[in-house]
Amino acid sequence: MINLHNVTKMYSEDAVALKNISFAVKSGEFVSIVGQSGTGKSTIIKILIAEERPTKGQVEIGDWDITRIRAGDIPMLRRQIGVVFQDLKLLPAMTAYENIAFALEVVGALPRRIKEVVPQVLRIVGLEDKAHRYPLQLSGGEQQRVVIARALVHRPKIFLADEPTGNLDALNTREIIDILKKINSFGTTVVLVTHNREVVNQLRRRVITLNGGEIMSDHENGKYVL
Amino acid sequence: MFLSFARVVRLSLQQFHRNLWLSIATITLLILSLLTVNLVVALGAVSQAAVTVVQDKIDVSVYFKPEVSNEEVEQVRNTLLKRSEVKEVAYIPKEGALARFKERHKDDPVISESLQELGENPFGATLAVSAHDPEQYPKIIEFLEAPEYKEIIEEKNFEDHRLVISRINTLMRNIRSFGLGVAGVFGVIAILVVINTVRVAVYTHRGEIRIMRLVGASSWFVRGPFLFEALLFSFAATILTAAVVYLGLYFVQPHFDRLFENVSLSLIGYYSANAIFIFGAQFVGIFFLTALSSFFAVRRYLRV
Ligand SMILES: Nc1ncnc2c1ncn2[C@@H]1O[C@H](COP(=O)(O)OP(=O)(O)OP(=O)(O)O)[C@@H](O)[C@H]1O
Ligand SMILES: [Mg+2]
Repeated sequence: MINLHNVTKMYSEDAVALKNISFAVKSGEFVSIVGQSGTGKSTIIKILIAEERPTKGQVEIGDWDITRIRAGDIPMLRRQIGVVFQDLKLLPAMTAYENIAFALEVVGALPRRIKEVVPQVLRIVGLEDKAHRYPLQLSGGEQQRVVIARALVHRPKIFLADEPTGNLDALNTREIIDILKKINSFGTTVVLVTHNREVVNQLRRRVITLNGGEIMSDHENGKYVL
Repeated sequence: MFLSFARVVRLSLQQFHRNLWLSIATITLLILSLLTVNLVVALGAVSQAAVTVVQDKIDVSVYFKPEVSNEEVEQVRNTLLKRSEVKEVAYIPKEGALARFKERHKDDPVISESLQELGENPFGATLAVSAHDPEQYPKIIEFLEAPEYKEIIEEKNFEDHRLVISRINTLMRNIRSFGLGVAGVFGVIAILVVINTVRVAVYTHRGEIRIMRLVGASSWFVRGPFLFEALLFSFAATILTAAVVYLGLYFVQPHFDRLFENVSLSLIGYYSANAIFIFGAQFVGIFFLTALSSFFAVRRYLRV
C-alpha cells in the first residue's frame, strides 16, 4: 500500500530530516511511528501526501509512484488519503456538519452525496447528535473527532494521523484511538504518529521508531522503546 | 461545473463579507484613483475642445495691395494650397471685399458717394490661410516673407495668434502633465493598497486554503473565490466611479456651456460616446491588478 525506498529528505544543506529511509506498509495495517521531536515523523506524513518531495529515493502509494507527482495530480492523490494534523483545525464560523460538508463541497460533490456522507462519518466518530454545534461549543476531544470525520469523507484507503491526541487527556485519547481502530477495522490502512507511550503499548501493533532521521527499530507487536 | 461555480461565488461573497471594512476602504481608494484618471480624461477632452475652438478661429490673413490683380492672388493661393502644412485658403477677391464694404455701409450715403467718386475699387484681395496644426503657422509666415511676396502684400496679421497658440499649447501640456502626475501618484498608492488588501484577504483564509488543499480541492477551486472577488471589486469600483463621474459632469456641464459659447462641448456626450472604452479600460485595468495580486498571493499557500 505504502512503499518508501531509500528516501532522504533535506530541507536545506544542514537540515536533513530523513536519511535513507525504507519501509513498506501493507494494506489494512495499523502502523505507529514514534520518535523524539525533530526526527522526521511529520516529514514522512508530508511526503506521503506530496506536501513535501523527497530529496532522494522513491515513494509509492498503491501502484502509484508519487515521487515526482505532477502538481495537477496532487488533488487526486489527496482524495484517496485521509489526513489529520495537530494544527489542522476546524473553521470556527461553520458548524461541525458544515465543516465536514465543506470538505466535500470543495471537490465538487453533489448535494445528495453530501447529505449521505456527512451523517455517516459523524456516526463513525459518535457525534451525530452534536452535528450543528460550532467548534467553540465542542470539547477539545470532540473537535478532534470532527477533524477525523472530515478526513474520512472520501472514504480513504489510507488514513494518516500526525499526533491526533496531542492536547488531549487520557480519556479523550482513548476515544480517538478507538476511532482509529474502528477506521482500521473497515480495512483502511492507518499510520499514526504519536509521542504517547501508553497509546503505543496498548495498541500492540506494528511500531516504527525513528531516531535522528533514521529507522532505529521496526517491530510487529512493538513497544515504545525510547 | 455549475455547482462548483455557485460554490465559488458563495465562498467569495463570504470572503468579501469577512473583510468588509478593508474591502470598503480599498474600493474607496480605487474609486479615488479612478476619479483622477477620469479627471485627466475629461481635462484632455476639454483642452482638446478649447484648442479646436481657437484653432478654428486662427488663420493668417494676408491683405494684398489694391493694384495686385485677382489672377496674381489666385496664383499665390494655389502655391499655398500645394504646401503640406496648409489646410485651407479662403479667398476673398477684390470685388468681394468691395461688396462686403458696401454691404456694411449701405445706410451711409457719404461713403457710397465717395466710393462712386473714387471710380475704382480701392480694396485689395484677401487670403485667409489656415494650417493643419498651429505649430505650422511660423512656417507659412516665413514662406510669405519671401521677397517676391513682400512687394504685393500690404499687410498680414499673425503675431498675436502665435502668442495665443503657444499659450494654449503650453497650457495644454501643463494640464496634461499635472493630471498625469496626480493620476500616477494615486495609481501607485492604489496598486500598493490593492496588493496589500488581497494579501490580507488571502492570509485570513489560509486555514480554509490549507483544508481545501488537504482534502483534495484543485488549485482552481482555491483560486476561484479570490478571482471572483477580484471581479466584484473591479466591477464595484468601476460602476461607482462612473456614477460619481456622471454626477460631477451633470453639475459641471452648465459652466462649460457658458465658457464655450458657440462650440458645444458636451462632456456628458463625450463620456457617453466613449463610455465602453473609457470605463471598460478602467475595469480591465483594475481587474488585471486585483486578479494578478490574488494569483501571486494565493500561490504561496498553494505550495502545500
Ligand atoms: N520546512 C522546513 N524547513 C526546514 N527544516 C524543516 C522544515 N520542516 C521540518 N524541518 C526540520 O526537519 C526535521 C524533522 O522535522 P519533523 O517536523 O519531521 O519532525 P517531527 O519528528 O515531526 O518532530 P515533532 O515530534 O516535534 O513533531 C527537524 O529538524 C526540523 O527542524
Ligand atoms: Mg511533527
